[in-house]
Amino acid sequence: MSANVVPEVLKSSRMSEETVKALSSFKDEPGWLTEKRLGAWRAFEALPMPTLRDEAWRYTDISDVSPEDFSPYVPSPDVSSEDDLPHAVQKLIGEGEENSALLVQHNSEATFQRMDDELQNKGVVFTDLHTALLDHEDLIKERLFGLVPEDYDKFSALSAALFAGGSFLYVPRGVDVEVPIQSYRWLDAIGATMPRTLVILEENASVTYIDEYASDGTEEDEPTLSNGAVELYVGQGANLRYVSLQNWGRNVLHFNTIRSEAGKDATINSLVVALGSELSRTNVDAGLAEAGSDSEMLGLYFADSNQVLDHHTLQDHLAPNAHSDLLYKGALRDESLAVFSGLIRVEPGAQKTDAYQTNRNLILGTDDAMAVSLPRLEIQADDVKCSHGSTTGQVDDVELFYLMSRGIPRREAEKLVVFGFFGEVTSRIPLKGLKDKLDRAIEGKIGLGFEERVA
Amino acid sequence: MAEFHKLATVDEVGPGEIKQYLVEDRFVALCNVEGEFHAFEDVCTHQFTHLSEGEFTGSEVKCPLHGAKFDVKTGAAKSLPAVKPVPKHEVKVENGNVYVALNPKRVKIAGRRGRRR
Repeated sequence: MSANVVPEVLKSSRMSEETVKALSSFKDEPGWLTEKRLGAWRAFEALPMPTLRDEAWRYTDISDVSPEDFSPYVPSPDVSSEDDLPHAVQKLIGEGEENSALLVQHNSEATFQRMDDELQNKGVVFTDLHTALLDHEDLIKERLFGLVPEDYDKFSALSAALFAGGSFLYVPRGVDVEVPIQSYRWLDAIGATMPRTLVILEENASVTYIDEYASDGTEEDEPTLSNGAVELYVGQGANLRYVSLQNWGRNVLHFNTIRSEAGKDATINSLVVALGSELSRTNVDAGLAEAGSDSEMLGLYFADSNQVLDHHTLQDHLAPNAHSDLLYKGALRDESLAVFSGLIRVEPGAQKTDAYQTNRNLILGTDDAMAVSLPRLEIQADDVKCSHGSTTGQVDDVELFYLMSRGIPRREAEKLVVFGFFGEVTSRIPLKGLKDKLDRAIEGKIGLGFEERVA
Repeated sequence: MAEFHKLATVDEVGPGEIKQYLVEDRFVALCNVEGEFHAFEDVCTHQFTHLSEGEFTGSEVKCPLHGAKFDVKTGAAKSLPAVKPVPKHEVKVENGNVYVALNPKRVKIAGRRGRRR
C-alpha cells in the first residue's frame, strides 16, 4: 500500500463523488466496482437523512450527524510485523481469543495479516477486500453488496460507496476451522472508517469469526464515524459463529448493518456486543432462506453516561422448518438510552417455523436512563410457533437483600446480580477468551457501584 | 440567569395562535392565550412530533399524532398518552417584542449525542 501515494482529494474533510472516484482509482479497482460505488454514492445523496419521524429511527436522534462531513479516508501507518502494531492493539490481541488467522485494520487500511499454514493448505482465504479482489474477483463480484445493498438505508449506501480495508473470509466446502479467526479494527485518527466484512462459507464448512472494533478516543476528541457493513453467506449444512464486539472510544459514532443468509440446514450463531461509542446503531438481520436453517442471535449491551445504543433485529423466515432464537440483554446506568426493536417475520409458506425473541433490560440505580423495547411479530403462515417477550426493570432489592444477608457487601452483591443477569447470554458463548473479555468490560462498567450514585 | 432571545414581535402571534421558532437548535412553540404569551419546547413528551402542528384551543394544545393534550400555561400533560409535562420557557415582553429564555430541561423521547460541538 505504501508504494501508492494517497490522492489529495481523499484527504479532504468532506466526502463527494470525487472522493468515491479517487478511492476507486487509488485502489485500482475493476470498472464494475467503480460503477457500483458511484451508484451507491448517488443513492446516498438521494436518500433523505432519517429523522425521528421514521419508525426505524423513532428513538435515536441523529439530526446533528452529517455523515458526509467526515474525512473519507484516514491513512494508516506501515506495519511489517506484529511488533509494529500499536501497543493497544497488541494488548487486544493478547487478551483476545486464540486465533488461527488474524487481520488488523488500522484506520482505513488493513495493515497486518497472518494465517496459519494449515488453513492456507486447506484453501481458506482470509485477507482484506482489496487484496481479495485481485485473486477472487468473480466470487466477490457475485456476493459483495448482495446482502447489504446500497438501497438498504442511507448508511449502507455510504458504506458501499466508500468502504476501505474490510475483510474477506472464504471457507471451502467441508473445511472445519477449529480455531477462531479474528479481525481487529483500530482507529487513532479523526475521520471516517468504513470496514466491510464479507464471509462466504461453502457447504458443510465451519468457522468462528470475530470482528472487534476498538479505539481509545475520549469524549473530548473530535467525533469520528464508523460505518460498517457485514455480509455473511452460509452454505448448506455449514456452521458459522459470528461475533461483533464494538468497544469504540467515546468519540465514535458507530453505524453497522449485519445481514446473513443461511442455506439448507445451516447454522449461524451470532453475538453482537455494544459497549463503547457515543452513539451506536446496529441492524442485525438473519435471513433463514432455506429449510432447516437455524439462527441463534445473542446480543449484549451496557450503556453508561449519555451513550445511545440502538439495535434493530430481524429474523426473516423465508423457508419452512427453520428455527431462530434471539436473546438480547442490556444494562443501563446514568443517563443512557438503549433501543431494541426486533421483528420476527414469517413469510408466506414458511410453515413449521419455530422462532423466539427475548429482550431484557436492567436499569442500574437511576431514573434518567431509558430502555425502549419493541418486540414485534409479523406472521403470514398458519402453522408456526413464535413467541416474543420483553422486560425492563431495576435490580430487585430482594435479591440484593438475600445476598447481603449472606454476608456479601452491597457492592459485591450488585456485581453478582449484574453478572447473573448477563450470564444467560455469556454462558451460551463457547469462547473463553471472549467471555473473560466481556466479564472484564462489564465489571469496568459497573465501576464504583451504581446504588451509590442514587443516594 | 438564562439568556433571553428575541423571538418575535407581539403582532406576529395573535390571540389563539401558535407558532414554531428555532432557538439554539431547539424547537420552541410560542402561543398567545388571550394576549398572554407562553413558550414551551415544541416536542410532544410521548413521541416525537411538533405540538405547534396540533389543534390549539383555549389554553390547551392537542398533539397531532395521538391526541395527547398539554396545558400551555403550566406545561402539564392533561391527557394520555402523554404523562410527562412539556418544559416551559420563560417569556418576557418588552417594547413590542417577545423574548424567551430557554429552559435547560429538555424532552427526552430519543437519544442523541450528548456532546455539543
